[in-house]
Amino acid sequence: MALTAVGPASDDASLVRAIIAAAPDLDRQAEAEICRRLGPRVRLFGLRHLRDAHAAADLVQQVLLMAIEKLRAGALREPDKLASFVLGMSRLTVLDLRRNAARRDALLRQYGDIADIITPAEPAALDQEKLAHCMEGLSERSRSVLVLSFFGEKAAAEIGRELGMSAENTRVVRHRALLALRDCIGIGDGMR
Amino acid sequence: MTNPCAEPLSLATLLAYWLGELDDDAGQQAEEHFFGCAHCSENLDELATLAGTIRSAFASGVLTTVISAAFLERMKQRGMKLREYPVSPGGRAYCTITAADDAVIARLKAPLADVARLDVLRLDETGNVNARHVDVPFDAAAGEVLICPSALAVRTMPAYCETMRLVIVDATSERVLGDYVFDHQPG
Repeated sequence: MALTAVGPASDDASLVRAIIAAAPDLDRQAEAEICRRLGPRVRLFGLRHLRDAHAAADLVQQVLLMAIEKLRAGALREPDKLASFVLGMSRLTVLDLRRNAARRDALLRQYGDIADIITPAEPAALDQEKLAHCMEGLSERSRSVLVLSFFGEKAAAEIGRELGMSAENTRVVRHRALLALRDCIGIGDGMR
Repeated sequence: MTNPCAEPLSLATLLAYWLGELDDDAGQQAEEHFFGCAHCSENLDELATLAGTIRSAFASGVLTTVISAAFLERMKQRGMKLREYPVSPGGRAYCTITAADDAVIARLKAPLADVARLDVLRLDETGNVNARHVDVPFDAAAGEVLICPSALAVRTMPAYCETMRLVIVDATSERVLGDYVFDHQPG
């Protein structure tokens, strides 16, 4: 019988302990909360390293399937290390994803019962019209630096070379432009 | 709303991480932090969303941007269908855009060595200045300024003749480097 005393307010270790305590039954609530919490972080990791939304979604699915598999089996000995455990798994899986696409399908077949809770929804994109309006308010250099940086995910040194600017100046322009853009759009009050 | 973080990753760090500017150790530290921190992972997600929206806005032709020659190559490598119009000073291009095109690129050829600041003026058929792009970025060695106007805006334009004027600006004066005429016909 599942133990369902955990939820969004529970810490990672409590979620892990709930899954272990429920065995051989399943604590769906704890598993779902882990997926809800860590799925977006795995996705960000995947976007950063794979630069592809579909590949990042595959990574999320594969990592969370393996993580839940191991948690059910009691393989995580230090429950408070859940985030590090999943990060390590993400790093290995990024390497593995490029080599082997078959394991994901096998896991999906074996653990299809949790497949519906492990894929996080795509985050809502910002309003393009509003973004365009705010981009129009930036200087030409700022707009170019942001587009060149994010369209190809390129570092400041490379963008600077292409636009006849130093890397340091490019970083400064990029940073200020992002702050101005976020202020204009009305997001990210706390991050400087 | 998540609990705040006692030592949040700064925007500069998140940006550097996202764009691959951190060395391996610093990158791994940033990953270990945001993986265990709801607050910082939300900030990174916000940055990723903003980056993704800029990317999609540019790809869908919403933005007007000065670009680089290397960036133009990246657009082609991504399979974007482009119309390029290279024009020399005093020259004219007959241009259009169709539904099949993702973007048009105005390539304004000019001697740019020793130029510190360059503005682009956009003049209508009667010579009135409709817009001034101040201090546009350029690669002097490339000898051209590349402008990618909003494809959405260009598609809605009627037959129209626009002049782009490059102006060198220094502390005390301005000097016209060249006029470039774009004779647009709807696609």
